[in-house]
Amino acid sequence: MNIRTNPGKFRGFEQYIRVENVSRRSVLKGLGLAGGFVLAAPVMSRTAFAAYETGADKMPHGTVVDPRVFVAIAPDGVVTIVAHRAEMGTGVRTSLPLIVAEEMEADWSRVRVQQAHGDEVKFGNQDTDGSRSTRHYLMPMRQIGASARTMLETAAAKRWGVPATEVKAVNHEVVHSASGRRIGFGDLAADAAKESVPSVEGLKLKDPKDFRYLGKGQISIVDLRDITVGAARYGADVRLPGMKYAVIARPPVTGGKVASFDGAEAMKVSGVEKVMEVRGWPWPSKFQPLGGVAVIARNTGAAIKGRDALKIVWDDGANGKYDSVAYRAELEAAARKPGLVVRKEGDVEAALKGADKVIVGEYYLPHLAHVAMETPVAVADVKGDKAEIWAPVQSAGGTREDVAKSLGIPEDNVTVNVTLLGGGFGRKSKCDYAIEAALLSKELGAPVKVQWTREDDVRNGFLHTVSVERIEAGLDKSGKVTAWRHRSVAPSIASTFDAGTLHQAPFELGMGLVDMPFEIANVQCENPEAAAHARIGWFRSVSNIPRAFAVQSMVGELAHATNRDQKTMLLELIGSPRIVKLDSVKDLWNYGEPYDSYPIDTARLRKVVELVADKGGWGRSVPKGHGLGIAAHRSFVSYIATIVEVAVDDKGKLTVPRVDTAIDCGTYVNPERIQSQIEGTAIMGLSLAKHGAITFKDGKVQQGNFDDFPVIRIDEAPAVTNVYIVPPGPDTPPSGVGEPGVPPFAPALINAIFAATGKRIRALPIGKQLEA
Amino acid sequence: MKPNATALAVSLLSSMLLLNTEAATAETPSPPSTTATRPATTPPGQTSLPNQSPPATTTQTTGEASRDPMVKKMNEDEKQKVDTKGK
Repeated sequence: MNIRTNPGKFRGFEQYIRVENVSRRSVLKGLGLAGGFVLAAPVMSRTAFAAYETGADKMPHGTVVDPRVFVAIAPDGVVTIVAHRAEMGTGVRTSLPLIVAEEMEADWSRVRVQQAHGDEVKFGNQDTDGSRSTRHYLMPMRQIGASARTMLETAAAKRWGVPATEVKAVNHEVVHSASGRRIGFGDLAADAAKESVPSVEGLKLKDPKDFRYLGKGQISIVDLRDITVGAARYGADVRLPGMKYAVIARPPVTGGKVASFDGAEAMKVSGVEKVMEVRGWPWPSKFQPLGGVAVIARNTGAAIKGRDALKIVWDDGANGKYDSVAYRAELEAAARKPGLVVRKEGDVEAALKGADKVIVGEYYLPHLAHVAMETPVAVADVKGDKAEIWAPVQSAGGTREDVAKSLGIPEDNVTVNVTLLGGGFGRKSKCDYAIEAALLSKELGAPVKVQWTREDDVRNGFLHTVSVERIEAGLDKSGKVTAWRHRSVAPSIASTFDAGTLHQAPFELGMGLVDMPFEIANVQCENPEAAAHARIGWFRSVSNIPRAFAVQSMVGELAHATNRDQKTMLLELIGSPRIVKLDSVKDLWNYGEPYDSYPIDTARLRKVVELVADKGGWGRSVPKGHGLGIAAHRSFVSYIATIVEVAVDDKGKLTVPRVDTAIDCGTYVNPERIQSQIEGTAIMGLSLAKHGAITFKDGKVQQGNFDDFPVIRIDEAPAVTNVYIVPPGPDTPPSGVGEPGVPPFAPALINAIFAATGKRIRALPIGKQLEA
Repeated sequence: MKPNATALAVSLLSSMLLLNTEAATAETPSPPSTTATRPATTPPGQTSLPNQSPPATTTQTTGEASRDPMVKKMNEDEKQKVDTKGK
């Protein structure tokens, strides 16, 4: 199974050493050149059999469980394992191969990781989003490793003429204990390749107590050294001979287009070679480019200078009056009127009327931009009916499909090479920048790099939606919550591909609205209309951010109203340990997972609250001006609770001395990566809560860079972030890690600010609200 | 089959050297001015036609159903995908 790289086919990646990119052409070429690797075979796909059911097989192209696709063993014993997901900081291209290595008894020091190209027929689904990679691929990767191990053991047994039951793979060798014979994986590779792949159903997986790597957290990510020393290669590092450099002036208003342009001054800029209008598609058009005017140059800097010299008259179209201030008022008005009922238990109207007290909270969250440190960039080389792309994309298979459609060529003629991503956060699930490069390369007959600047990223991306969440909670005389009405008003992501969208889609409603787990007799969730006037897209944690902000802030408000401790109030609302029944919810979306495998289990939610309270010292004494806040949330089928300690000085300056988070993500692979993800979400959560706001005036985004859309710097970062991981039960399926840390951060922070100052913040970002 | 490791290594090395040489000449060596990466908030040469559209509301959609068959199909497929799979 030779899938080592033939570097001649990896232009742009010549400096990659440990992590290489795999294209199908190079695989075939490599087989022909080297030929000595084993387990090489025609590609065959098989649906994964899993001990617990997940939604993996319902994803496009499902899962592929075949060691011949994912594993190569060289005669020298080096094992190469393909990572078919994209690396954007989660460590996934280490974690998934590590699972294979664990099961096949490979010595990690003799393992090399290769990045797969985009090919979902071959590798299975490649959408690196939705916090799905480990939860969908833990079992398939174990099965791949176990298959490879079984083939090696079978080959060794045949060579020695002993029953296969008498041999065992141990640390890169197969051992026959009775005779003391042992043979390395490299020496067995050719024979093992001749063995048939065992049936998944008959595989014997390792006993978890024998794991050497999984769950230990002692393996560094394969990219660590390169990232640390600046040697990692991102999309912008790809350079091809004869490559042109392009930037594009895109319509500043969603749905706008070029009315006229004059490129004469741009052409005078040294290095600029061409100015041309590029095609856009009327909005909404999924992830198709916006169009505009491209400046082609000998380097990116010249292209940017040329773009600055363009004279363009835009036709802003139907969204030319989009104004964030006015639209917020519209959202608030909508939230105060009945909307589409999406969950109903009991009689909330009657319960609110009969309540001793009703607490109302209205929470606003503006649009947000992803601002991954690496802005979108792509290189394309289109020759005739063939295209090759190099880009930091979260969805390699989707990119391949969309580029092929945009060029009007067969998907098999498109190769998508996935570079390291300098952050993704959902932005790079949309491949518009790769399509732009492909269209320009086709037009120019040369390789083209399209580079987005930070301003392009902020102003022409796919933003997190804007929302108003209104919650009315009715209390009886004892302070028990008897009624809960939550209206959520926000433009839907579906508006990116459905012009008539006025309501949120089931997958958005299922993120903290209809799946609210509190034990309350009368519950009603409503979704009033909200038309979109900008491109809305997936953003790390998606709708969970505004929902957790609202629900968990309301918990704090209820605690204050009833003179109770926040944690006590939270646990009372969560109620008894139980599996939540949501029979009244039509089309309940459970992150794509079957409810039997991943139900809403309030015992697990209670447990993370108790754990973080215990470890995080809930109730401890804090200095004057400090406060503690707590919040808990289930998202991406994981459970998480966070305590934030804040300090607010007499001028309103906010600092965060300490964050404590407990997470129950089921069975896990690498606790070190869980810790790093939670630390990252504390940074991101604090950035968004303090500063995050994208606003519109006359249809145009008013921000452009980190001066007006700041991310926190080191002096603002939490001084300490502690992470506590709930040990998994023996049969607990894995769940999400990359996203769940974000949603509870803001409400824990806001509850802490209230504890410190008595000020309740209901609109984010915090900005200067504490200075008043 | 047994690979000729030496031949393969030589092949790899020569390919890498060749590619590095080509890459070195691909971009002009002098970096652009630092100000070139900081464009003005509103590019001075860009303006908009007078806009007669109504104010943006929560109830009136402004998108347009695509007439391009390819995009129409893309939109329909993506809608179906998120309706059933969430993404």
